Amino acid sequence: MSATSTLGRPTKTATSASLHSSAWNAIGTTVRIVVTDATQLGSARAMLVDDLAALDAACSRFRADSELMRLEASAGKPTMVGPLLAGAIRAALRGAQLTQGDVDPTVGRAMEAIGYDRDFATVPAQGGALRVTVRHVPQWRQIVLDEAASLLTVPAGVRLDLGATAKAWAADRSAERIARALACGVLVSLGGDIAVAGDVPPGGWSIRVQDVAGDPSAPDDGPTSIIAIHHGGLATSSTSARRWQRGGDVMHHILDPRTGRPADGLWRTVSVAAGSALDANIASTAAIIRGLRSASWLARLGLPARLVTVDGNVTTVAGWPAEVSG
Amino acid sequence: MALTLPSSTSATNAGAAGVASNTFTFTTNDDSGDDSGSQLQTGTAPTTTTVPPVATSAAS
Repeated sequence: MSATSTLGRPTKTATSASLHSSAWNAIGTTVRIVVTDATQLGSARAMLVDDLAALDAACSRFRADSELMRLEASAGKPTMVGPLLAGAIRAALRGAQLTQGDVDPTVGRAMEAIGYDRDFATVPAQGGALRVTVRHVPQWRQIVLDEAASLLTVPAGVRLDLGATAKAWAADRSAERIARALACGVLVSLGGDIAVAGDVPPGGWSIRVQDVAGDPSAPDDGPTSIIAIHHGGLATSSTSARRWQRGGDVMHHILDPRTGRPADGLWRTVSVAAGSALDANIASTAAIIRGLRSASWLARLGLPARLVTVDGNVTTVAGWPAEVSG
Repeated sequence: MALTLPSSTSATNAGAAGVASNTFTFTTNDDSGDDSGSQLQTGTAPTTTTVPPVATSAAS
């Protein structure tokens, strides 16, 4: 039996229900790789470890020596960038363009202003009240990426935060690369942004979609859903994860670029399935920020999605399966 | 529990007989003209499964 992958190349369906996985922590989140061929697990893990080390060196805003942070010394002048940073920037600009700036990579300074200025594991859970100036952030249109010349121009004073899209883009990239190299089915999960490539297990890749998140391996404390995907990607964005307090205010990591403040909308968690993890992530992040109109927006785009209100009520659109577990 | 979210909602406060009703209508931000995201790539829809999950999608 054969199927066609998102790349259009023929793939076989895995004949064994036995899948083989490895999980660890890297780039400030939980990493998991699953393969359909046990003999390839070690190689697959090693490839992903290398990919993530390179991603961190290129794109981290928590490392002074990263290529991203060294960009700031260019003070608004065109600067040569490597292919990884260029790819991550391209992914971020895709998100900004397709959401009319709701997913904006220029929120780095705003993110720092509310306290997320280091790897999240070391962000103090409590802190004093903040004085935050509410301002309109979107400066993404001022970023110029000349891919032919490998030149990137970022306005002076702007700090980029690629966290919204870089993990998902990296999951897509690594899943495809590893599946091609090892000729097996591969699932890559980077903090819940999931990409699959290559051979498809019987019935698809079974995934638990969890609403309230802290440690994804922790017991469920919100409505969950178990679904299977066959191609592309799946992403979940939530205001319930990566939270901290400053004064009496609860902060989280999804900022509304129009205010520079944590999004304060209808949904606490949105999960989206799309043709890639990147596009799923763009849609799920934008949906958190857009609030009430997100359900009809996702439905019109034909993106299967599961949205959970701050009260825990679930709505699904565009063919997302009915809830089968609680 | 599924939640139905209309793009516009009206609420009627029907008073006692002989008292004029007050109708409150609010319209949410109707995005019918919002074509943003139209190039986001769709895939095949997820399916239900009883197979134990091999990964978790959760913001973390």
